Amino acid sequence: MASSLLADKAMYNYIGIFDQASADKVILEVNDLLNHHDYSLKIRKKAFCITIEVVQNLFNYLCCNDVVYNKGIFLIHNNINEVAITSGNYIRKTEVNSIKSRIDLINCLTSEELRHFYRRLLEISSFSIQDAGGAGLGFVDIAKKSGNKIEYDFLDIDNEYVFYIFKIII
Amino acid sequence: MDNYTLQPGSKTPFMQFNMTSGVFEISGRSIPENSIAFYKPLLDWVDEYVKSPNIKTVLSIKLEYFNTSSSKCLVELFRKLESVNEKSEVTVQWYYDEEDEDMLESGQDFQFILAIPFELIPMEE
Repeated sequence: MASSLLADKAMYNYIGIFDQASADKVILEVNDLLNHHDYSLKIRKKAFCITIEVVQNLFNYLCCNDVVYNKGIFLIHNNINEVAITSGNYIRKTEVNSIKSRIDLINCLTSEELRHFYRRLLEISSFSIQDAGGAGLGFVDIAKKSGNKIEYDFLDIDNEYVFYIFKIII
Repeated sequence: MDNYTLQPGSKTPFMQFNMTSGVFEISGRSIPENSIAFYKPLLDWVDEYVKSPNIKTVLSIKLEYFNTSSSKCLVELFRKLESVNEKSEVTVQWYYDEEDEDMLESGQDFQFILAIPFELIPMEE
């Protein structure tokens, strides 16, 4: 998984702070990039939708108040007929189990089960200011749209933080 | 009560909700980071509308992209329209690019969980 972070081989890379302006910049640039590539409409739309979810997830969950730990990485690699989207960011070790169990659950589901799970989450989603994210729909939506399993890894950094790598192939 | 109109932004859709005709439209992109804050004024407006709705209410949705946080705001909007269904004949029209299977699937997901007429309408490229 760590080799997925090789930025020099990426067709798109952003490494740095993920604030509002940089998240917007990445989304706009990826939109332009995908529109100028020879992908089918289907792949372009899937890649862009997944980019939005991944980038907004980075923006929402970065350890914002620390100059070292508020940096992240977002990469797109181009393989034959497929696109790989990778993100990386620091998270607290206390968050690892929750992320891991959510992804493992999603990775166990068939496409039909994923669809039912998505509908169930949508049905019970609540509209509240306290719950401004995607109600846990993001991971499920990414898995559903890509048709592939989510790959992940957690690289040990220090006593408090790990570097969380997330990868999906479209 | 005034109509609710919002011009599109780079991450937010065009919205036109006409109080007197009951014709509503959301189109473009809905990918704001904080969808709750973005949709709150519209949902407040709909709360007022449902007190005295038009005999017919038609909501047309023509979205190119939307993020998952927008999807739960859309569910909230649909739920409010469900509640008015006894006083107004409500229809949701979900337009999708005929080549965009994900947008069709999203429409089917909403259709599955809702109890109001929800039409899936393909658009040619």
